[in-house]
Amino acid sequence: MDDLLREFVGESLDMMEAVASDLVAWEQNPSDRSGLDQIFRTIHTVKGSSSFFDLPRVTAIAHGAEELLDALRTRKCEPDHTLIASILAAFDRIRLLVNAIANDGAEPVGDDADVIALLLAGVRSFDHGAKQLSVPSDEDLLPLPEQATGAIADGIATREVPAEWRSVRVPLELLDEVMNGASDLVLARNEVAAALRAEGLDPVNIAPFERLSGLLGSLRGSVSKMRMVPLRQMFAPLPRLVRQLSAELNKQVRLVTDGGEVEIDREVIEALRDPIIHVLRNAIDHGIEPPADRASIGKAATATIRISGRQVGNRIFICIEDDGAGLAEQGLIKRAIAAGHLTAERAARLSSDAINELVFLPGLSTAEAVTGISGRGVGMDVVKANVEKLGGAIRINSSAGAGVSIVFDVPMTLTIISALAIDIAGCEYAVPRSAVEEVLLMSSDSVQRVKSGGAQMVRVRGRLLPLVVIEDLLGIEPAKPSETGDTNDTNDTNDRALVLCRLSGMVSIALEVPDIRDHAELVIKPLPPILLAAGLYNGFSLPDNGRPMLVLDVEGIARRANANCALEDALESQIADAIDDCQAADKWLCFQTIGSANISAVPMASIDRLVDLPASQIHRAGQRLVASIGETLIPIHDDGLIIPSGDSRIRMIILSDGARKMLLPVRNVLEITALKPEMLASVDDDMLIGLTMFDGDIVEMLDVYRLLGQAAGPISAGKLTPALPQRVIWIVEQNGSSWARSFLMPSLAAAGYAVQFTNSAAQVSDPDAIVIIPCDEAHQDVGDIGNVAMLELHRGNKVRTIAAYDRSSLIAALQDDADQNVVAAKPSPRKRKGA
Amino acid sequence: MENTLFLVCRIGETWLGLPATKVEAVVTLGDVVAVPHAPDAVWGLVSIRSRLLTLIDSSIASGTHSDGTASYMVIVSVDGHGYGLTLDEVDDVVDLTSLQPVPGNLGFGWRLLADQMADQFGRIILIVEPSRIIEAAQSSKSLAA
Repeated sequence: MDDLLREFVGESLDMMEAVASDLVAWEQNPSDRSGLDQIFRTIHTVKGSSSFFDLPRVTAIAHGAEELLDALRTRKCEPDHTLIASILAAFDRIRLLVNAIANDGAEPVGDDADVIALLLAGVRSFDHGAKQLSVPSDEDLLPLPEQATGAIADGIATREVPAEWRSVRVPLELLDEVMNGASDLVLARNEVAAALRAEGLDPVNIAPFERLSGLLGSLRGSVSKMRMVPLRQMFAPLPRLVRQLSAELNKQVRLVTDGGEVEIDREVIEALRDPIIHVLRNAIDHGIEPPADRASIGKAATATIRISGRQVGNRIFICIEDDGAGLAEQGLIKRAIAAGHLTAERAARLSSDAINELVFLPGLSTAEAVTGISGRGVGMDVVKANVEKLGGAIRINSSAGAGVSIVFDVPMTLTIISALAIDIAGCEYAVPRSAVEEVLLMSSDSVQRVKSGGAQMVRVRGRLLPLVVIEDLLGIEPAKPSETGDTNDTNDTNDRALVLCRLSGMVSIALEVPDIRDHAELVIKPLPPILLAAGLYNGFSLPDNGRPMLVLDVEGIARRANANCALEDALESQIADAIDDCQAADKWLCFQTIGSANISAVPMASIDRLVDLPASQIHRAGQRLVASIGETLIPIHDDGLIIPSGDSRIRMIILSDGARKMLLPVRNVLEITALKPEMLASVDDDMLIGLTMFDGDIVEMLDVYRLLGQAAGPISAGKLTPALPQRVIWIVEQNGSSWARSFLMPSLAAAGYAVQFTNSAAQVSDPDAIVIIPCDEAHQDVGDIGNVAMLELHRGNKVRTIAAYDRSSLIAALQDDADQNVVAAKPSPRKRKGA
Repeated sequence: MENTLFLVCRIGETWLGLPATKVEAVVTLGDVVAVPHAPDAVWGLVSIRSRLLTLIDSSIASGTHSDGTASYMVIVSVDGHGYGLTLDEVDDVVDLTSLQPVPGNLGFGWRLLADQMADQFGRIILIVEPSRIIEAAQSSKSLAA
């Protein structure tokens, strides 16, 4: 807050001085009224900021002055000495107060009725029509301003503003010029270095040159600091915007800002301003419910939008959260299908995260109708593109009924980046360090080239990544070994390097490059549009050697290499396809868990997606492990997982039953295949559905619903929106078997049914109830599967037999029944015949 | 009045006049670093006095496709970005006052670049705004298949 206040003080003192002289200029030359509007705007700003800082005295005076100025401005009257004097008195008082604030950090106690009375008397004089008539006579008023100025009855001594509060205001263009100058100096120094080298001198050994380099370095540092502005500069106009928008839309919104002290490059701020305003508008227009609706669902009538900034390393995270209704998922899906981005079948299988991502597709706006506030022209796709142009990323998280949070993840500064210089056939290119996850040699043991279906991939420690060979992508002939002389005898691929690049989201690609030169701090210049159009570069630079260097845009490379692989890494897309596949029901993903040589499998249908979690996102909380993904906490199945140190990543499967999620750490993903249990699990081993053989190995088929039940706990009410109103299902319990309780019930409960136990079907009184009877004898008639336990599903006069392990068929059958009921129940409610 | 001084230079067989105020310098071509997948008319990147320039092949941008290798470039700034435009020959800065509209049968490439021309002692000089050359270069098809 101190910084904010400091800025206010500096600004107000400057402004007061400027407007006072403007006012006097107008008095002297009444025909030039241009200054008057400026004065009005200035005093309006002072009023706004002072009320923001809760400085009631300043606000009151500024308000009075503003009214009088407005009257002067709109009535087109001649300057009047008395009026001018009272305004000047007001300005002087504001200056005194601000001075006091600068020294004490708070507004002094006191009364400004004298000054305000003068101003209001001036305003009143207009209200009475002819101002000349009603202005209090000079004798009454003239001495007062002097009194008012001199009085300072409350003991505000005129003191100097403390030195550290002083600042100089510089036009932005000048700052840019200085910045460019500093950059050019660095470049010129590089040229000198190159020239010295050409003369056979080593610049490192020339003391004055070294000193020059040092000085330039610190100059560049200070200039970069000059470019940094606190986030609050961007936040400052937002409360007003929110106020205005919410008034227009008849909503009540409170804006909370946090982290305004975080400093960020002015250029980044400028590029973020529109996207952030856009997101705010969306939130108020579409996200936040009208006050009455909010009240009816038990929310505070006034919605809260929180915008916060924080710095992590040289990245800035700006988070905008609202507590509105969340994204209209169905609307999004409908629009995505209408826009041809998605098929209905695929939509049905999207995870909720993926649905949220739909917002960023072009041509989607969740607004039912285009309003004047949002839902016209630019969409979230433009917002995303703008953020990505900055080398940033944007993430969205929505929970129905609880609101949306959108995180902008942007670099702190654009002008100097640390980069890897790579050499491609004699030309140097830069890869921003921020995009680089890891650098390996192609010859390393942990790197393995794989080819499938024409796609090149690499396996790096069990992780499959799409491989992009940079020369192929850029269409450059690889340098022939013979040209580089002594590399003749070494295997070509062995010298080459692999740069694993992180794309937005959790996706990575592997970039195979001929050679990595070194790390460099590069002064990045923006590309002209003609080069941006190539979609492969996001800047250029002139390094020491004086040869222009292009900065590769990793996202663009992934896009060009293969539009799909940019979105999902190979395995993930395979999984996504399998999820799409109607046959997914019996497809299982086989994997090895960490800390066990056994092979486990989970049904594809239960997999939300795969993630590579940095260890830093994993926390041990009491007896359990949790990970933060986006803004949510997800429990981790803790099977003696040892959290690695540093920034290494752990591959995890996100398991979900639609309502709950959990993470299952995996060491190695092996295969997606159809599995059926060959041996059902014993009752005691309640985490398994059964065992089967695959490729000569025993595979443990995990009971995901038990796992979820154990790790994620019961479904919290409100989180789960069952597809149907909750129905009761009766299970007939067998003597001495807890199977129904330990296996069946959690599955059914997870699917949204209420489960009741009974000893006999006859005791169920509701004729429409669903009753499940586990069979004592195994049935023989299930094809090649062999002996399996079966369930009988009774509903009314219908009986179906379903394999006991076959949860999906069971749920489908239950769902079927419910659907039929909707049609059949009305004409003739069936009578239960017996069971 | 508008400035009437123009730098007269040649691209292929066509003489053109660039407004002298828009021209920062004329230099001989040096090392060019290629930019893969940039539009056809982008020759590459050059650095002149620690300044990065995008070098535009004017013969491609104008649709001339002259076979003569350009040996000069003129440095211009458009929207804050520095560009070099290749030229086959540079004549002089001359004062051209009586400008007239170009005929409709101008080659397609040139029609995008020039609206006016001057007749200087029998030599036709097309008046070209540098920014138009860059616009034309931008729409030249990219090497990408």
